[in-house]
Amino acid sequence: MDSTIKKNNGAEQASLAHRAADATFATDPIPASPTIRLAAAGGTLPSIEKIRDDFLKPITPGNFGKWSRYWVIGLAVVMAWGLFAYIYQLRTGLEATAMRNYVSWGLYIATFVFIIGISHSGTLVSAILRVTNQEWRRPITRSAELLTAVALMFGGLMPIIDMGRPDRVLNMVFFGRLQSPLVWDIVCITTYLTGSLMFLYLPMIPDIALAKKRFANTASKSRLWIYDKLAMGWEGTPEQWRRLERAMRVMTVMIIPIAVSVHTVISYIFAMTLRAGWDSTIFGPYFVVGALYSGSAGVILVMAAFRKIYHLEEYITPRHFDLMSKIVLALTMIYAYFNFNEYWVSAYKMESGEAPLLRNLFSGGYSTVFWILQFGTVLLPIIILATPRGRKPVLATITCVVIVAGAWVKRYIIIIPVLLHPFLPMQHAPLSWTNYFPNWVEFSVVGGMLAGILLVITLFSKFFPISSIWEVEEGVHVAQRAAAGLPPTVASHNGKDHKHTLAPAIEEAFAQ
Amino acid sequence: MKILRNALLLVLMLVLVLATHRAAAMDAMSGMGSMDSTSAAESAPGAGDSTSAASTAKLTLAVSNGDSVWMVKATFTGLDSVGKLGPLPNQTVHYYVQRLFGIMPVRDDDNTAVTDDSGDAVIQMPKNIPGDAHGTLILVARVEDDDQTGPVVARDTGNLGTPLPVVADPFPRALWEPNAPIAMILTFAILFGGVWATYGFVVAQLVTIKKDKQHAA
Repeated sequence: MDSTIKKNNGAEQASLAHRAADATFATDPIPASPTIRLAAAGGTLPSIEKIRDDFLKPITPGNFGKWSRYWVIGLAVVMAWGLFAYIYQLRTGLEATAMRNYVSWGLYIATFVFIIGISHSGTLVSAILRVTNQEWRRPITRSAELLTAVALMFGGLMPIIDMGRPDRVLNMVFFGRLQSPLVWDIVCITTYLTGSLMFLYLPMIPDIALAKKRFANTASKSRLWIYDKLAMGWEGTPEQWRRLERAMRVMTVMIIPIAVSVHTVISYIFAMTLRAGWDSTIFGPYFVVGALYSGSAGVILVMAAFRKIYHLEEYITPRHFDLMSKIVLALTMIYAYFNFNEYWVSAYKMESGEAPLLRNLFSGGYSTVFWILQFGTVLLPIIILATPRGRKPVLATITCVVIVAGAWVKRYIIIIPVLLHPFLPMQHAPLSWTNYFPNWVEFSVVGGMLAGILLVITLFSKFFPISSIWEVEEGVHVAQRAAAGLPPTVASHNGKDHKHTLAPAIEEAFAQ
Repeated sequence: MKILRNALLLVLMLVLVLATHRAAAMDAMSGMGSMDSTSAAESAPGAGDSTSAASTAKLTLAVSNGDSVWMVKATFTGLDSVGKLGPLPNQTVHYYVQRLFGIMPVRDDDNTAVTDDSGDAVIQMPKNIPGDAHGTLILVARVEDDDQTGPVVARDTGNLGTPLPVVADPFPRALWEPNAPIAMILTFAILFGGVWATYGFVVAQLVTIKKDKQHAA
């Protein structure tokens, strides 16, 4: 590979490398990534400033408009109402909710499974697309990583909210049995949350350093202090780039199995029981695919929102929607297969324990919701996304709203009807306990939590770049090189000897 | 290499802590077992004497050996309608044995007897009711919701049933036991130790990034 590159481009690389040392960026003394330094030396990327301006504009101090304020205040009010409802629940006990002996895992746990599913977006878009070196991923990876981290932060709270005595969650830490799927759940989610935060933070470092320099004279002291601490003294030296890329490579590979393990373990909470409807050997992969299906649709929604609000049409293009929609399409088809398999095998056998539940789903009280889910949120999206017109931004976004909403209701359908069909009826239970629909307390708490997710994402987008600027810069350069018929990359390094994979002349340029 | 060595040490320490915890828990379990057997031995038939929930009413149980059945006598005493303490006649007593998830009538046909003028109610209880490995049964006598006394319950433990032999499970449910199998602890420690060691490596890279700036300065 090296020899090919040298053969084709040796003279050009040497020329570019010598000029790289002279490349300066008037307003931002932070050196760009190795690729961009090289490209800038050739004078082929005049748009670096524009890229930086476009992505730093939303976080410019003082750029907090009227509508942004209304939006943040609105979310804060919803959050406060959710907090009030939760305090009421704490004081009254779980009797304040609609949950009773039959349904002890209601809307809270359904939302928990849904949100953890959404959190798979970061893994899919960022890690998998990084590993497979998909160039088009660059403007959207941070949105996906952000959605993952924030969803996990809030989603992980749902099981604690579901507890009448939340202080007793510590018993799981001090006295938990390693054989319990609930303990596995706590360990996996904690590990995944930690990894996701690191995965979000690592590629942010050069961008935070850039923001710190750019807003050195305009930002508040506290904001600059935060930038300073988070930038980790980033100056863009070759050694720092090498360390950063190494850390990112490790995390990119590591985060994928962790994410898969998290949703597998969440499925075990159900599948390790003998209850009709949950006693299934395919629940692990079924939940993982379901999570990827809803998570990838969630990414399209975040892409659409940031694109519209921050006017990023130039970077998040219809092609991004087209490619992401194809991923959603593929995952929806796999999910449809798992769905079919899960219900068809049980329905064919109609075991006595399963039959009441299945009849309830197919033709009973939950049948309307069940069939709407199957046709409206699985089959219909397949038909829409299979057409080029369906993968255009507007229609793809609407389809993904349907998918995400459907994924949430599906979690409800997986949990509630099963709990309403125990093998033995509860003794001395009033008839009203054999039905469940969440009450105002549960809706308020869940609403407050969703508002919290949106609020954190909004505030993040006001303080940190919502796309990885240096990766976008690299992507633009790679595209230009491809158009010129040149090899795509010069950014990687080669292990311990710190040799760049391109011509040694580049290394000379860095040394100067 | 230093990071790898530290990570290995961390995993080893975790395994040691878990193994110590497992040994301590097993000691505690063996102590509990001896206490149970002592308690069961002291509870010979007829030794039971329980007071009711109502402070004035008292229900006592006595068991004697019939030819092929146990003769279970419940004696019900308390304040009568004029406030005098003594036997309470014409009260229906229900007889059960305790099971894991509830109580079971001692007889299929009729598990009740009515107290006579002495407050005694006698029922014949079959001897073939399955007990535990020692044949131990918990006998329950109840007077249901009397107008004056309210519900009154008496319990007695004794070797009144047939021993149910304990069959060793050839494939014990290790995951349901109080302590996790050592293989499971090791698997967990290696998997998550590996992941967290990787996190440590990444943090070390970040620290080096910061140091690199200081060196450059």
